Amino acid sequence: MLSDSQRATYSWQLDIPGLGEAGQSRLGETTALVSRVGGLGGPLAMSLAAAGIGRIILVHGGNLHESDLNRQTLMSRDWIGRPRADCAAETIARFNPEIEVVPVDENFTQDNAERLVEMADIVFDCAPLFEERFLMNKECVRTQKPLIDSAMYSMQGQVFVVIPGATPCLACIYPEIPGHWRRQFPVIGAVSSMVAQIAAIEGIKLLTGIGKVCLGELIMIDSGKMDFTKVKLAPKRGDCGVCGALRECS
Amino acid sequence: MGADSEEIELGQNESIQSLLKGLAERGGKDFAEIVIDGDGAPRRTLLVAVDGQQIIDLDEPLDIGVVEITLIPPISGG
Repeated sequence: MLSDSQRATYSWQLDIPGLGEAGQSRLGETTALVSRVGGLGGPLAMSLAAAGIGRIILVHGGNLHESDLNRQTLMSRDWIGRPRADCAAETIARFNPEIEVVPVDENFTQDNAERLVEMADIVFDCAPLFEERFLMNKECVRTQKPLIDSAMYSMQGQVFVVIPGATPCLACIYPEIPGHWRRQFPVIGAVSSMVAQIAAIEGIKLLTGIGKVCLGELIMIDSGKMDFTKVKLAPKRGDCGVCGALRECS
Repeated sequence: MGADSEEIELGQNESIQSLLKGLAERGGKDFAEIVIDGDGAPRRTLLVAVDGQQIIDLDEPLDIGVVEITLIPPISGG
């Protein structure tokens, strides 16, 4: 049941076919974890907040640098040197004071993976390192929680939805950590924000049942040519070291 | 390779594996590093789609009617 204030805030989206008060309530009851809150995770978290996700956990270790400001749109120049999770939480809390925002000044590691994923109903993976993405994937598969994985490089983007047991997982499509990846990647905020919105939409569709979630498909964005394509993925691998033992479900 | 797409006529019994070997030989070191490993086998991290569908067996001869082969290297910026 929505409050009068919620009904007013979300009145323009309640008319989306299939959403309604029931879908809006589901969003409000959801805890989403977003890791990290940079060029991709920041705009994504903001869109989740705008949509009315009730509780958002922002996972990001480290302080804001000047070189983050071309893309990390939840930040502000006068916050350089402050923890980015706190900055992102402050921006989002000001934007939507009706939701709960939980900053976590840590990156995803083996040591905190279980604790962090346990707090969430759905995980949005926006980390720039394969090691973190693989950890999130593994923990989501173990706890059977949905994962929306997103990544970008230069003018390219990829978004991929993992429903443990029903779709391939990240380790099915990338059975090992790629060796060629370098920590610093070319990025302009307009592209990372666009990829973020696609991931946010997939999550909102999954939570509310509106539209059709791209399950078993890799969404590919080439903003250089404005091409959007989907590749139909092979079924989850029986020999996958992460999800192979899970029974197929629909 | 300096190009994001290229038209290629498939040879008889051409597989993705043989195709990648040929592309790697003329594509330069950086491209080769992404698509094949030190033994000349396709990288396990390279996702390959044929006409929009991921294929797993990269050694299988390709259907002569194939229209589009997509090589998708992993990316991880955020």
